Amino acid sequence: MAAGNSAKTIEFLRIGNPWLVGKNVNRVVPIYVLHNLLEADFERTKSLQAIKHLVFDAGKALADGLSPRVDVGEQDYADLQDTTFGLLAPERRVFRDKKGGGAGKHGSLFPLVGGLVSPSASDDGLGRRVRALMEGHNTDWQERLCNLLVPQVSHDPATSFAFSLLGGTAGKISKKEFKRPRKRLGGLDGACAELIDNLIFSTGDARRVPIIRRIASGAYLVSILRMVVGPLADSGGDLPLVLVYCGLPPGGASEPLVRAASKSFSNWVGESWNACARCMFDSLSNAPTLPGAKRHEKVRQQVHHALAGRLEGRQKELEGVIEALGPLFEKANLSLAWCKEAMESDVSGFAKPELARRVRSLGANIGFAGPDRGLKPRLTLDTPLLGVLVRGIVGDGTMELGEFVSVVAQRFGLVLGLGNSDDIADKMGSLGSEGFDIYELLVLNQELLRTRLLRAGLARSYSDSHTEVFCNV
Amino acid sequence: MKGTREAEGLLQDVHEFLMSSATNVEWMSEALRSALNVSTGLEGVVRTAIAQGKSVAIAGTAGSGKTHLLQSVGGNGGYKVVGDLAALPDREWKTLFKSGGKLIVAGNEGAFLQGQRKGYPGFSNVIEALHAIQRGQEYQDDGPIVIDAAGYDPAGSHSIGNMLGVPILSSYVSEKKTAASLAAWEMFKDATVRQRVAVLVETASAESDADGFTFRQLWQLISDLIVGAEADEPWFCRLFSGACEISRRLSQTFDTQSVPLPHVGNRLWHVDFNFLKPVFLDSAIPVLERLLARKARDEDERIRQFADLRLLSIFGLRDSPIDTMLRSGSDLWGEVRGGKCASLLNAINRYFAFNLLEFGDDVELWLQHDTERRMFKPNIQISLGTALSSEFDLIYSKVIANRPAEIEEVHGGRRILRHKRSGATLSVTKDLVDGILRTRSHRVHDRRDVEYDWRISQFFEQIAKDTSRPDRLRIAKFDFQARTGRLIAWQVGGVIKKVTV
Repeated sequence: MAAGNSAKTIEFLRIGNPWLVGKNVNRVVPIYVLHNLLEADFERTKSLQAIKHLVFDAGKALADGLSPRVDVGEQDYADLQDTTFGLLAPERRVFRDKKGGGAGKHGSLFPLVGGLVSPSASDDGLGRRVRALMEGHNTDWQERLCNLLVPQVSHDPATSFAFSLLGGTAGKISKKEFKRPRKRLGGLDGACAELIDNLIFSTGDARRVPIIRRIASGAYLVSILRMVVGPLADSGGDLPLVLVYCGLPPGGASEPLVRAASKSFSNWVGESWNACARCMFDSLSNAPTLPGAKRHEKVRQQVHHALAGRLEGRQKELEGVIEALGPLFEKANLSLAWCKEAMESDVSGFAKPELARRVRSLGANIGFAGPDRGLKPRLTLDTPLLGVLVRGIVGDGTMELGEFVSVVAQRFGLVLGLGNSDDIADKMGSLGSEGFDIYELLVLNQELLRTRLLRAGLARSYSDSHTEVFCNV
Repeated sequence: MKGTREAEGLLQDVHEFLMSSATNVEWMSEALRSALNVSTGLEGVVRTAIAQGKSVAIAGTAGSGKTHLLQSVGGNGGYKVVGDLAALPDREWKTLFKSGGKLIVAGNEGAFLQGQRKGYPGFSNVIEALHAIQRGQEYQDDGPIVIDAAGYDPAGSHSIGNMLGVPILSSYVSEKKTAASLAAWEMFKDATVRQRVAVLVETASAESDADGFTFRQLWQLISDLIVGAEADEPWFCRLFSGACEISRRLSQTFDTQSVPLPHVGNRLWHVDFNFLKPVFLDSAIPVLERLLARKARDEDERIRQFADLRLLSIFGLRDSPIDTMLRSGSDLWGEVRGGKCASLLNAINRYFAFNLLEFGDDVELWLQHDTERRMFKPNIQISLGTALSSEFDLIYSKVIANRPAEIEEVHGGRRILRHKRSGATLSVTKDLVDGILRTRSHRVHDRRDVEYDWRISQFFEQIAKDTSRPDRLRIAKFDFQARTGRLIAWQVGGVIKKVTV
């Protein structure tokens, strides 16, 4: 049950899971995550707002400084707006400013080049977290990313259009440089960073636009995975396994495989929820308290301390959250059970089904979850996302299908089939249905995956028992 | 007397072969192998290689005919023959190609790949050659002659037609099956009937890019038609309802319930033999007579009788509805089969323009860069450039690398649309062709089209890499309500100016 407080109290839940998104989950979309991942690398462009205006009001855009770069008569304004809309706002995430005309400040353009990148507050901090994760990854990904986003010359008309709007440049690379860490990230964070790293392919030709698109999908996928699986990884547990339906999404609700995937999804979210409570308990337990404070006061102090770290410099917001959480502290005694109760209470306005709803809603944006409505949500892989996953895992090399399936399960807990070991069937527990045991279902799922990979040109069949997965683009 | 015993023994061998689940040739007697032999043209390649003293590598999946090919070429003096690479001890792999001796080696392509991964000499050449010919490229180096047995498409080469005509099968049916089954089987003496089966199997094989059919699967089909059928069940009924993979794919690809039978359907229902006799092939008349003579006791039996007659008509009518079945609403697949790519390019253009704009045969390289799952039709599309139709061709995958000059090209089953300048390729399957003939869908429950979009977009991406020009931007704008579309063009790079399309 979502209460009115949940916009504030989400920060309380983020003590256990910092990647958790708030209640306006519909606005958390890949383009915002991408911008926040990129924004540290590029300087803000002064004419960015004028370029945004061009999506809706060419006259205003030209008056705001674009006229030297665009030589178009009034009769062609509509065509110019349409062109800019199609090229720079394909997902319609630039919004009309009904009062002032042109485009509002919120919203993001497709970052065809670095000069079009701007931070956005609409991703609930996911992009910033992905960025922080990438900054712990010790490869030359940043250099490649900058080369991709700021090409010296344009080779395709889409990039040329952006060059023209920015006055003949692709933007400026920020002078701030982060220090490349010496050690490689491990565990889930390392796997997430490597997936994005593999998607960053530096090229100046026309392929750069689809590459930017794939980075957006990859960063968003990582955000979802980190949100659900992260608490378990943080609490030192094994990654929870979840069956991903590998047929064409969303799959028929009555198929045994789909039913198993739905059940698995539900278990997956449940495990994440419990781990979030554990992480919250660990975090609060380590927070200091004033000597002599009463038991329930201690809990308030611990929550205050944990939130103060998260909401640094936002004192008013911090006080607002503590006030909203007030009823939770009455007779409170810090324990795992209290954390769970507090998380699910009306005060926090969040519950396990809410987490499932958010995962489904986020996942649906990139074809990672389905169906869009109705019962039995499950994880799926829409074809473009399948391409992202393959490229993210395999890079520009190749990998045997069984190994690919095993690696995906090992790194992210996503079960696409049996892989190279039957053990995974034992670990999946009793997910079978309608006369099919989990072993049979996993064999079937892997075959569906194999067929889809072959059809999509993401695999080559070497024999009836040997298929190599690759992504050439 | 001895001849009769031999014949009986051979029929027994045929029986065991057809009843075997694997239908493989490893244990076959020479007499049976010879009786069932269907030439593919690849035998000549191996013989020529031997005559020229060249080594041969035969790669392919289980059931693709490697062993049969090795056995059919007979004696190979002085050659080291490795029948199964995977069974060879690992230590021998290192020197297999290195020794420089005459070698014939057969194995799964995966085994050759393992050799390459381990860095053993010669294996890289084989893998490179296989990948090149699978993309339809001519491949020549100083390595062994490489035959991609899996790439050889027995369905596309209509081998099933020859297999169905093997006399020993007719003798077996005559010996073991009922008169009704025999009458139906005798239809295969007519090359037209065999050709029709072959065309349907070829199309089902090309339906998707997952896997073509192997020789083993073709034999499993034949086995199912003969020994899997009910007592009086004719093969043409079993063909679409059998238990084997090919039957399953045939039933998925073709809807036999809606086969158009103008003028004839009515006569079949009313059992009008006098009208029907001249419109059926002579080879089908005995079967037609039998089916028409079947007395239907109730409505259900009548419907079943009509269903059987309809299936017979597909193969037995002089003017068969098979072409209509293949066309599925358009001649495009027929043109693709004929190697003509202009119509395909035109259809791809129309598909991406929601049938609202005509672009001709030059291909607009549409860009898809929205970062969210598509659930609505984009009313504006961006083009990364135009690729001239003259730069494309439709080719087949090849089967032989380092082909001796005197050997004719043998093509594989994969049809490939190739952009010659960039080398980009798109595998053209029947389901893709059917898909692009339909209007693009973005419904959340219809993700097949997203798969087609994705495949074609990857193709465009590879072409745009070499073709895209930075000075001119074209977009298409669609009005889905008014069912119209128009192009808008801009000069870009310097100051943005509108230009005439």
